[in-house]
Amino acid sequence: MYGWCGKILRVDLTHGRITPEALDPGTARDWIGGRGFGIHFLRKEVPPGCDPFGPQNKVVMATGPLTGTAAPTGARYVVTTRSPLTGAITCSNSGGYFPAELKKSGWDALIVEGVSPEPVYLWIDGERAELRPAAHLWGKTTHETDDLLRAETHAEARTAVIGPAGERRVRFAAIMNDRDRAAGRAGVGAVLGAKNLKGIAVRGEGEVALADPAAFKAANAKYRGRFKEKTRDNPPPLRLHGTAITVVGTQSHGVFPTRNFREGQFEGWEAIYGETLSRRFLVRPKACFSCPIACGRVTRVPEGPFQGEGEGPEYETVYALGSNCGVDDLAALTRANYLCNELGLDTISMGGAIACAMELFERGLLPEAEAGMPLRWGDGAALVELTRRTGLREGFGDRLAEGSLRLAARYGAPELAMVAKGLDFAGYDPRGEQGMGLAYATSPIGGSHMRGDPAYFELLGVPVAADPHSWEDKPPLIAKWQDVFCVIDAAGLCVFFSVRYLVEPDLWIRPVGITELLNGATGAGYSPEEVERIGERIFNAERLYLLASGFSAKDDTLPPRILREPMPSGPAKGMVCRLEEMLGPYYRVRGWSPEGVPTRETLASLGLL
Amino acid sequence: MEVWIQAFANLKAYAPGGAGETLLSVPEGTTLQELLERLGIPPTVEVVALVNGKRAAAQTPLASGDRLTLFPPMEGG
Ligand code: SF4
Repeated sequence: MYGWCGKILRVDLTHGRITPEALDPGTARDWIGGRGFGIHFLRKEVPPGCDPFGPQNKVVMATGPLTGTAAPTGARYVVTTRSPLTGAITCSNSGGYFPAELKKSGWDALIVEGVSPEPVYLWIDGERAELRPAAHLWGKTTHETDDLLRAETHAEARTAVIGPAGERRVRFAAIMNDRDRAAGRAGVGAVLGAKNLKGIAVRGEGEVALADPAAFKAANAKYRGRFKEKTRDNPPPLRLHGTAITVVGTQSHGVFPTRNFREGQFEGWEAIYGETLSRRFLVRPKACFSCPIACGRVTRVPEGPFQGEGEGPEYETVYALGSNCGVDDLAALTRANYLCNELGLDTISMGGAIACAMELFERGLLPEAEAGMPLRWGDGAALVELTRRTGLREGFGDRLAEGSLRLAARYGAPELAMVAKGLDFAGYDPRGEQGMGLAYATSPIGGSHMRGDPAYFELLGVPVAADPHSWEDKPPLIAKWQDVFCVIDAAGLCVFFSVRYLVEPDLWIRPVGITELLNGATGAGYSPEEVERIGERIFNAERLYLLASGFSAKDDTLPPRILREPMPSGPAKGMVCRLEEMLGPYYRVRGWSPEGVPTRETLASLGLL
Repeated sequence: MEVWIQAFANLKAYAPGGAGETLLSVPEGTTLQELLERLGIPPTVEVVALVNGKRAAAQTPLASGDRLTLFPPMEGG
């Protein structure tokens, strides 16, 4: 096969067996890879009702046909499993260098199953793979584990590991690859911890074979050329200031979540946004494999109580650990970000849980004696300490480790968790960004922005601008964007590049550039329409799995604050999210029944019957 | 009349105050587009322009006290 390696590695931890399997060419063509492979294998092999921490759950770690190639941002892989945070499916995406290395070692995907009786790690050296004891790594941070794994395997091996948070089954623990890149959302790291798998080290020196090298090269040059042309005079804002420059877009539109989504503008925004980060702490920008943008941040807090070095913060972290907790101390939130990376925690859900705890405290629902300290908005030192305690499940950290929804329910106010299907929102308040409300409510993994991100057109002017306050026009747009994001996640690409340069520059994005690259790599001869259908197939398959896990239309909802409490101030003042008005038309556009279930005709047309 | 302007990233180069919010005097009835021209932003430079936090058409006349935010389209967040 071309583009695909044609091989999957099955790792049975219960019996310590590793089995290579052939990738079926029909499966490859129908699902592309990454997120598509994830849901395909999950539906086939994992019972929807099973315990996410039990032996029946599996973890699919899948690259796409463009991962490890010279395609711009061909850096990514997707981790799919049942989530211990939401009880549903999660698919979490990460870049860096590990995914490309996995592909170059000759494997399209890993399927991790069972539970190991003892802590182990997986060492993949090209064709050969083995499980090795990892008792000596248990308790180590992600950075320590990366150092030790490379010392024990190969100095240039790439790693994906869990930290103490994953070992302790913190429900939003991440899998960290290349030290500081996270497959972060909804607890994929906790599932590895429950399986006693500390991590994976991989070394691959092969090249991805291309079906039509000349066509691939031409497509690559064309789309990299587009990027060069656009950025010739002005370097991309994401390279200059990282994703935290996005604060400008959210703050000015009044949708920058502040103090647990009570407000949409943060008075301390200038202290924590991208340009301030560049000025105070940036050491250098950092790129993932084959990426011309380099939005990653290598940073250093040079002095003071929060001194340290590492990577980040990204926009989502600046919102979650910053404005949403009322924290304008950039040093403190950067330090809390470093801790999340080292302990292996999702920064978004960490911030969501702390913000929720701060509101519970303020309302007198959470006594100080239980919290172990006063939980005041804006307290940077508390933020850092709570993060540490959560990663280690120490004291009140043990409660935070259950996530915002369980925490809020425990103290009698589940409505204070700013979640959809149990997953904490990203950094956009849907009251002033109607399409985002629909995207959160219908995302197959819960409150994620990366499953069809309308912030691009609602706030950031990419590919073209649309009105963030209108709702009537959003249902078909959101469906369209969700499908294209499935394609991006299946191909092995990064959204940041793809959504601007690999689609037609139109609101109704069409994955034309992605199709050209896929065809050059795989020789599949896809049409853009066929690729779009695959995106729709992936989205519907995830929906089916969600429904089979016990979710229904009543779960396609948002907290009362977003639906009924008008935004108190700013450009979105007086608005609520008009989700009710959007859902019906959205189901119709999708070919779903009024109960949110894909109809037989829809399933038949997508080959899902 | 006077309007407030705040620009970000590469657009700071065109804003009178660079970083930070600046008050600028302009003739009554100046439109958004006229203001962008007055600041010397070439038509080839892409701008997302908000007036009081809302996107406004190029021909919209500005009112005294309006707050303008200017930033480039961004790839991500
Ligand atoms: S844009 Fe950022 S996240 Fe995406 S591949 Fe490049 S460096 Fe990685």
